[in-house]
Amino acid sequence: MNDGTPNLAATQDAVLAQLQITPSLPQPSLPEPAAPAPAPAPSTGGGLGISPSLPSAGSSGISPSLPGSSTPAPSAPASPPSGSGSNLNITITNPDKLPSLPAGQHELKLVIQDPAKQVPADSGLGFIEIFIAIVAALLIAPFVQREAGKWTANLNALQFVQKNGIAISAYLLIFTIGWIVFMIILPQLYMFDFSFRHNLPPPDIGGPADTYTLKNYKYLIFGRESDSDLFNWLHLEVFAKTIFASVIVTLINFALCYPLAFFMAQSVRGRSQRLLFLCLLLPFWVNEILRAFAFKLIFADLGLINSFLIGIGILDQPYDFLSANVALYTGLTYAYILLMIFPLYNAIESLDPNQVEAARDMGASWITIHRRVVMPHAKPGIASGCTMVFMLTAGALAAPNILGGPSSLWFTQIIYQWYNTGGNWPQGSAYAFVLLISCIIFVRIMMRVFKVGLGDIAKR
Amino acid sequence: MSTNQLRTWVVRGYIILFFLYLFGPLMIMSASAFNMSSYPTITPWEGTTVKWFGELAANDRLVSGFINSLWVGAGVVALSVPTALAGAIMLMQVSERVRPIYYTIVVSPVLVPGVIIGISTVIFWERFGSLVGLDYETTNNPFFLTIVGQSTFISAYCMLVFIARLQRFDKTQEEAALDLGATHVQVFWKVLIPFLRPAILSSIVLAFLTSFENYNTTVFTMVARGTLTTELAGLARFGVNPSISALAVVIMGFTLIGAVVYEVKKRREEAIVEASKKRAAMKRMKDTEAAAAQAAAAA
Repeated sequence: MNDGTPNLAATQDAVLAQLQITPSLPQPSLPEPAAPAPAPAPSTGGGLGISPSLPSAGSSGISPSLPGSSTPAPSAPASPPSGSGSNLNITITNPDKLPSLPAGQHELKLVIQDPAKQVPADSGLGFIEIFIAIVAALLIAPFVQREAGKWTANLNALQFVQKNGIAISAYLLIFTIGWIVFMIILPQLYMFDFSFRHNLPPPDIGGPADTYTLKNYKYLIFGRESDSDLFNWLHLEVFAKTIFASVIVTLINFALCYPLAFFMAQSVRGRSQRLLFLCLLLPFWVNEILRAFAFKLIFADLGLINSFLIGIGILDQPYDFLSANVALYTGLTYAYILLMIFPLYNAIESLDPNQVEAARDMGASWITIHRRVVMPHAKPGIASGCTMVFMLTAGALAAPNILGGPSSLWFTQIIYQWYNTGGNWPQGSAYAFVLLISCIIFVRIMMRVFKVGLGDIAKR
Repeated sequence: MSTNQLRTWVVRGYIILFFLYLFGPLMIMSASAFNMSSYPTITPWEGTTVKWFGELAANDRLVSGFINSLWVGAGVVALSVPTALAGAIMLMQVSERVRPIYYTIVVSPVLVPGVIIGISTVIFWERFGSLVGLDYETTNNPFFLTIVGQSTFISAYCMLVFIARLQRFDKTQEEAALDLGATHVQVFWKVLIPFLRPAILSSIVLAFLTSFENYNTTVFTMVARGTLTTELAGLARFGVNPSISALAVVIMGFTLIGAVVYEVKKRREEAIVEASKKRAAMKRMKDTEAAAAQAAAAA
């Protein structure tokens, strides 16, 4: 089957004949077709490559040197750790394309691959993992494409260097590319990659045990296999609670800030407006931790509200506001008020007061004016404020740490625990990635609902 | 009472409640710094003291955290301001087709939770460092990781400041300077940077303050060390000592002084503007009078 192949070779550059030694292998993986160059191709990653140039290819001449048959190939630096099975790939390059070689002489490439590298440890998941890998590749592909597009756009345009001079161009390129590649994109990709790995001690990283797995994501949904419950209710509940509570906090925040923003934008001018702004800004110069701590003083067992309620005889026992999350929600609402009020103010401020006046003259009710005139105009501000507040609330760690009761958890706290006390970074990465995806979905929904661009949201 | 009056009262009551919500907790916390009680509270009041301020200065962890915060803040300013400037200039220059994609990428750190930025920074430098053979001490240095991690999103904040200013930049200034024989570097330092000075100053302040106050990213990247904010969080969570309140009083004191200075300065500027306006108006009046007199004389 391997010798006389000119008729096959006429159709393609390279013919890839695959010889499977052990049929027990579930998924034989194809190596990349060898380049039609006269030089022997190097071994592909992880596999052992033998590329002798044989005058005539015959299957009988190859078989004795296979590692699958207990005797390792002489030129192999190390034999595969598990002798369960190997692939033998014989690549015959089209002789017509290689005029330098005498007729009948074929390039032969043997690639013996270690199946442990290719088949995941829990082989029952093989299909799903490959599917996930494809999805991941599709997710990453746009980024790669964008990056490539940006680079070529910049490299192609020689006028970029002409326009800026060499020194300034170098500065611009080094800092921007360094920022984008090493600070924005690669860390996220590494975290994504890491979330599919086993929790290994450092010496094993990069070793044979360092394979891809879905178990970190499986754990979030199903928990330990030994658990009696089907789902990991504790973590799923915390996740749902975090998202739901963040939405509620955002809505409360909006309801609280909208009237003030409207009042400041439409009714106050000059000095008193500046004073109002100053008063708004002042509390936010105080550290976030201290702001949360202030709420702890109010809501703690020995805090102001409990002392007051006990003092006037409504309660005889202090009510545990911390465990009931009252303190947490109040503190979270407080923490990001500024990020709601300023976008709202900016958006409403640009509305011509005459429009409101005109609507009022035409007999529109107070609610109609806001619903039909002010809010449509302030849409970008509303989207920006709500998105920022939601993201910061869902990603908050300090306020839940300080104001959350001992029994209540925020999703970021679970992530932190995986990193800190849990000592399971891949697991933490998987959780962090789930949070990231939820946030991206939320931003997308906001952009869709309010019909605004990302620029409107990020601008504060 | 008419509906109009009622509405005015509702608005007033709402604003008072709003600012009570804003300032009440801080005032209670400040008051608790002066209470003798060893637990930070204002009820019951066990006597007035300032000993918690002494305790604050004696807390070694807070003091060393404060010094660490200053270093990290300086590093973040040094890294993120040039990065943000480069990013903003680049945005003005990339082609129309690439611009939205480029903008999405560089602005995305603003919207990524700080926790995730912290985690990904630690993982990336740990794994990438070993891949390219970087020294373990460097890639796991808490200061290096914190500065890089914080700069990821602080650069994006600062870039927004620069973009706002750059949009008003008159490109012809640059072209004129180049036509007159200036080198690109000279144009950069003598035309662009002076124009951007206000934006540079405000982004330095923004970067430093954001870095100083950051918790979510820092708590991951600082590993075993701590900044003032992370130390404070530990104290606020477990410690029950009014010296935290004392720190709040110190910070608020500085803030108030700053605010008052700002307000006074603004009012003085306003007064100057008013005065010059008045003077100009007077002058205009005199001019028109003189013109009228001249016209009358000519007639």
